[in-house]
Amino acid sequence: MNNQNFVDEDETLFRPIYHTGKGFYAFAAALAAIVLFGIFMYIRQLIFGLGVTGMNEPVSWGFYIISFVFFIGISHAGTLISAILRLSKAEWRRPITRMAEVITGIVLLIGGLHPIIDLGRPDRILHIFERGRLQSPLLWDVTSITAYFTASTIYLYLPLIPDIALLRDRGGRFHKIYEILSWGYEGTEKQKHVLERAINILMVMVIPIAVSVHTVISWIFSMTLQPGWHSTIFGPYFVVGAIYSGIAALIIVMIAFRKAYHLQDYLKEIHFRYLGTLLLVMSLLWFYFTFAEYLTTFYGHEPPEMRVFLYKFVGNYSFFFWLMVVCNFIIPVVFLSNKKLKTIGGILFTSIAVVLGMWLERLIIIVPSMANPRLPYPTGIYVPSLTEISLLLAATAAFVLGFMGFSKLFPLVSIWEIKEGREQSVKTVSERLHEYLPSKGHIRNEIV
Amino acid sequence: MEINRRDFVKLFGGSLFGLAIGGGAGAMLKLPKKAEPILYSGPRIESWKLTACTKCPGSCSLRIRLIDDLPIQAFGNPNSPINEGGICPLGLVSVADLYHPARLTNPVKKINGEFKPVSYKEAYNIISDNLKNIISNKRQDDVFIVAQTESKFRVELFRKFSDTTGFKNLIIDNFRDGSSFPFFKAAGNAPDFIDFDKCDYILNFDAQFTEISQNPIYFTRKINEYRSKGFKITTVQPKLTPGVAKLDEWIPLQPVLFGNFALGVAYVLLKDDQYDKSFLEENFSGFTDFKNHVLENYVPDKVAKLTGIPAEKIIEIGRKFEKASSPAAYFDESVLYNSNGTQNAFAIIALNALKGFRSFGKIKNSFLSSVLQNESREINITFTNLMARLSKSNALQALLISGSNFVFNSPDSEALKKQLSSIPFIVSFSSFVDETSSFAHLIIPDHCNLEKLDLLLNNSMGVPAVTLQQPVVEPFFKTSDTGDVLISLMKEIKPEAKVQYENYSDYITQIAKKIYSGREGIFMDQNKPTVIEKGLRKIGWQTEQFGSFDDFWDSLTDSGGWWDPFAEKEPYNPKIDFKPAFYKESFTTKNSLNSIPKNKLHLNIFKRNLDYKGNMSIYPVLVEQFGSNWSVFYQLWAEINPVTARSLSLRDRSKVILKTNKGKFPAVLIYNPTVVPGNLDIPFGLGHTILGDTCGVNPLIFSENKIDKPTGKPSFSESLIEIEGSSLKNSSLAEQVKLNQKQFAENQVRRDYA
Amino acid sequence: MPRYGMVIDLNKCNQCEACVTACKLENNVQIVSKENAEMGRVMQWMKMLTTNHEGNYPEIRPVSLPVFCVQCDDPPCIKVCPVRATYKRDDGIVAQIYPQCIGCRYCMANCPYTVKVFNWYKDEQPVEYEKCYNTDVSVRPKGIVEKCTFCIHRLQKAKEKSKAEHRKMQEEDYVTACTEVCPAHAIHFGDLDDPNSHVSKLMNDYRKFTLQEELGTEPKVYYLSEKSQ
Repeated sequence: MNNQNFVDEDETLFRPIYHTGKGFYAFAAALAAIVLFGIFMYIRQLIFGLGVTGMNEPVSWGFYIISFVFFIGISHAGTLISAILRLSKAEWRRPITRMAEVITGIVLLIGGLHPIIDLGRPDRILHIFERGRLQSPLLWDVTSITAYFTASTIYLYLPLIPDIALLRDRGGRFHKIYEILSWGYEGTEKQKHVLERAINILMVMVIPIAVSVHTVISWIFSMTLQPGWHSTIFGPYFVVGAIYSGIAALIIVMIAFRKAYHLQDYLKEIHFRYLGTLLLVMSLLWFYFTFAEYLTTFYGHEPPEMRVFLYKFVGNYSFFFWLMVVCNFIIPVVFLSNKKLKTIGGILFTSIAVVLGMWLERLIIIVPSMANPRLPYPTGIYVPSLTEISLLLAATAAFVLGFMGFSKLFPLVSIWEIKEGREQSVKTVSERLHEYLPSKGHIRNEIV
Repeated sequence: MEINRRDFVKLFGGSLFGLAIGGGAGAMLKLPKKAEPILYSGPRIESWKLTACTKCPGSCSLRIRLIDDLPIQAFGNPNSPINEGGICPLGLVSVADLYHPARLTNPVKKINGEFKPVSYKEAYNIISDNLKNIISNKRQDDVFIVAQTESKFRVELFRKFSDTTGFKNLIIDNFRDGSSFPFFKAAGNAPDFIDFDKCDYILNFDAQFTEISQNPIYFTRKINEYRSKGFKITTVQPKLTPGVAKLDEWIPLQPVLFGNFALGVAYVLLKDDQYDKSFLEENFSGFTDFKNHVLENYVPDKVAKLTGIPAEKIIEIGRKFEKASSPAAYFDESVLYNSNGTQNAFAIIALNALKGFRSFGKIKNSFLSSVLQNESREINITFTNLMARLSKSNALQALLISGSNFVFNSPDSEALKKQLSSIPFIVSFSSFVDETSSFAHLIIPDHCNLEKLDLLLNNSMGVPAVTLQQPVVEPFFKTSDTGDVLISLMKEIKPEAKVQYENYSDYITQIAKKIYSGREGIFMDQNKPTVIEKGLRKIGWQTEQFGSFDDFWDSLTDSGGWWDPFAEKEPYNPKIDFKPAFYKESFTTKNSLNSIPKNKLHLNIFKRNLDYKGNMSIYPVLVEQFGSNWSVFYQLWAEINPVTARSLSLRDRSKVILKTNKGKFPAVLIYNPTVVPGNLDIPFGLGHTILGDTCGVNPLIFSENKIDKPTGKPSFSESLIEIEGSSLKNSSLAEQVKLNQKQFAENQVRRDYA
Repeated sequence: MPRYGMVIDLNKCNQCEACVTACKLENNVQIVSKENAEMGRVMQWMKMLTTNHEGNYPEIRPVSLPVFCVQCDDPPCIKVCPVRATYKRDDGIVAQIYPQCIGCRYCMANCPYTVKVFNWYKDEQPVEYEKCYNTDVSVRPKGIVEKCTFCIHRLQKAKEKSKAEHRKMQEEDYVTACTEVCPAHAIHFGDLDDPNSHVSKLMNDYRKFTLQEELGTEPKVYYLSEKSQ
């Protein structure tokens, strides 16, 4: 069928799937080159050993684990925001949820690959499954990330079905794939009902899984005896940090694709303002946790802990530490609490600062504790090598590339939800409002 | 699980061993051809052999573990009374010598600046022709022989060679002879040992007992015993070395001032009249002069001004020394590494004489004296003579070097290298092309330690102990024992001398025969004699131990050594001829601490036990381990007191450039609070270029060209050094050192009242 | 079952570092190149550590002790290994299974004594060192964590030898390399549970202390020193 004859009111949402500009190909080629370079560096690492990185004793975890924690942290935004907003029936979530879920799906893949990149013997990865010890936090990690990945993929797929059905009806290049993937969805009442129920179940299930993922990752660190890591606050701290970085990443992605695909009509300023408020709330929460953590450390004044503390505050890592505080606290508070600065440009700048700051926060958590061992060894030094930097860039490039690839196959904004919102939301919301507010009608009935 | 792993380990170990060898195909050049098939798939049969370590004068007995008759590891021999199973890092790596890729496998000759292999016959003929030429031209006096070996019998052979052929200029450079040199000069003979059982107070002048000494492992045990009895050791050193760090008192003092300090302590004894008058009347000629000189010039207050040690401290040590019944003021070769080293040694000898040398002893004249006729001969020729001769152009005709790397140990190495290039004929017997042998015209490489036969005599236990060094493998390559070369040369040059032995093994066998004929002593694998046995022996009761000489030799090779626990000791009674020149020459400092200019620090070079004479850099394990206690690897480091460093605004572990008036070199700065403020301590031993790769720098070539005139040893701690880019904050360094001395005094007072 | 432990008498130790060298040669521990050493990747199963300095100048004295895997009775490293590549045997030795380790380095992150060592590069040794490999010990490939195992290959040899000779294994049959070579006889090794072994007798010494006992790892390497640590 000829798709050019269809003119839907949400045509802009369909356009990226059918039209691809030159700019897209150029950009994708550049990203693919970066990814290939990263793969080349990794093969080099397989041949020569982990010595090509900058890790040493005592700093035996470096960029790979930092990026691992960082990427898994970003994944929280997706499903968590989408699930929470759906659960709280916030109507402004409608254009956001799809992008959020996609972020989760892609970034979990990339993040989950990082520990394998970090292994000294990746050819023995199956040992984890053959002989794994469930007492080890790494195993908990594997379990929870797998569970999260499964749940979020399903959670991405389910709301995608109606959109695939729409695409299938329009015809086009990938007609066959859409037919298989849409599972015969026709939009009947029964199917809609089943879909709603499935989404609701998953929505509730995904939240504890998501919280558990980053808690378990934080427990990789806090279950050890190292100074600076052995803290009970790490679970909630990491979850808060993850949501924080996730929202920031989401905002960046949204602004980028809004510009590229001309989605200004769907992703309005108000969406960004609400997300900006959420970001501000998370920033304050993050600052609260950080402050609590360091205050208790400082007050207790235990020598090994103080060694790490001083290293972060006034020692070699003080530059990164204070940059992190600026990026994560000062810039968001300044920009997001001020109406004048809370423009799309301001929010974009803040989000970039937050993403950078959260990456630095992972660096600050991991490296100083390892560089200052308990016994009086000299302080360790960690300088990242070309391999690690290139793999970090390759991971980021792979993420963007994956997102771009997705946008060519499926719509980035949930079309059916927008349509649903247009048609039904006003009625649903006003009904809901009547439930909250005291009813004039009741009194009126009484009087009359 | 366990069984699987063990089998796996065996398989893995065996095959990986083979793989490791096979993998390094290029490295296979350095193994004899017959060993190659075994390495790939040998039956892996383990055997053990006994030999001795020659890296230091201790002569510990080693047990070598061989797999398929190739040496793999070295351990200590638990039966040896010297080391009782212990071994130091130098001994542990002695197996690596055999397989070293830089080892010379053939005699080589320098043709157009490169070393090309020649046959042994050709090399030998070149040497003998040259030497015969020199003799016929009557220029024997223009030939110098430099020998560095700790084996006494080998030294004997060199002496015999020198006497027979007439090349009188023989320089013996070893630790024991260096330590005895001041004794010979002052008194004509040297003590054999220090008796730790008798001694009850030791005043140690810069001797690193447990690291570099006549018998490090034995001294370690003995000092632990000594201290467990409650006796004290006071050490006077410029740096608190790790081995002596547990001693009771440390007096930080620059080595140039040792003589002043010793005479200051002597003043206390003389003033209190607490010295051994009878001994001094008999043995010390010129004592009255000496006494008057000391009482006049070395009043503690004056000495305190010169040395910076408070007068109360000097008096306290003097009192301790005089109260002890047999104290010892100990020194060894390390004290000679200063421009007035020998002078300082004389002062220390005089201090000992005041108490009659009670802790020193000699082994009574026994049959061994027939073995070592020339043992008590003093050293006449030292490096000073060599340097003096070298400075005259065209003065030297030939130079023979065995086991010495003196170019590395010399501060004026540029001039020395130029002078060496002008000598027409240099022969080296070293196994590697190091800094000295690169100037040689001909190198006949020596066997490595595991391929030689030798007997090593060590008297420092108070009884004679002879460890047998026997070849553990057949010589891998076409190297030859230096002793063999010398004996052949002797026979050829002077056939009329009727040399009694064919080669070095013969020589050793004859010495063993002499030991056998004494009919005394026991083998090392026999039980140590109990007190009862010793008592019976004294009465004269002894058992006939050895059968024929062949039985003796078999037992010797099986047990690893021989020693005589029943040997009698006699006190050391030297006739000190203290010439006024020894003490009249002023001991005042040539490098006055009060006039160190701003920004300059005092350079103090120290030795580590991992490097005995500055030539260990050929062992990769030791080079890596050299700085491991500071976690500094393959680099030169400089230790500095944190107070000094902060006043110069330098941070811990910063990389700095150090500058002397001879050049610049990089180092890593390490904070060490035990370093004397105002000092910069730099280790000695890095800086070799033996495999084309240099790590670290030799700090000696950047220090002043000062040597101890009688012995020619370089001065290790009389230079000034500057850290580039450092800025002085508050006080000048001289003031800082004064502050340090004041603190020292305050601490003393506090301690006395505590 | 025997419970192997060690007692090191610090008043006898003179920091000669023979134990460090012996451990390296006995267990085929790699020597690293200059560049790697500068990055901090030197592989030493046993290190001589200067922990602190006591007193004021010039009474100041450094406190140095050999530090190596203290074979905890409650090891933090085995708790976090995902594949049971490091485990505690019945005789108290914390052993490594080299073919099992996947190189995640979690045990290295959890060890409070920082004694675990990782093989960053392929084994490329100087030639003179390769020829002297100890054939009893496997050479570890890259990507594996390793640490002091109380020379467990010697235990296996001793067991086999005593079995072949039809007798019980005795105390002298099994000593670690560092114990064997110490010149001052400062290191003592043996069965802590056997009341007759000389190690147990030394445990009655009042000068005894262990490293970081407040962490509850129950190390089995004890140090004897008269000074406060």
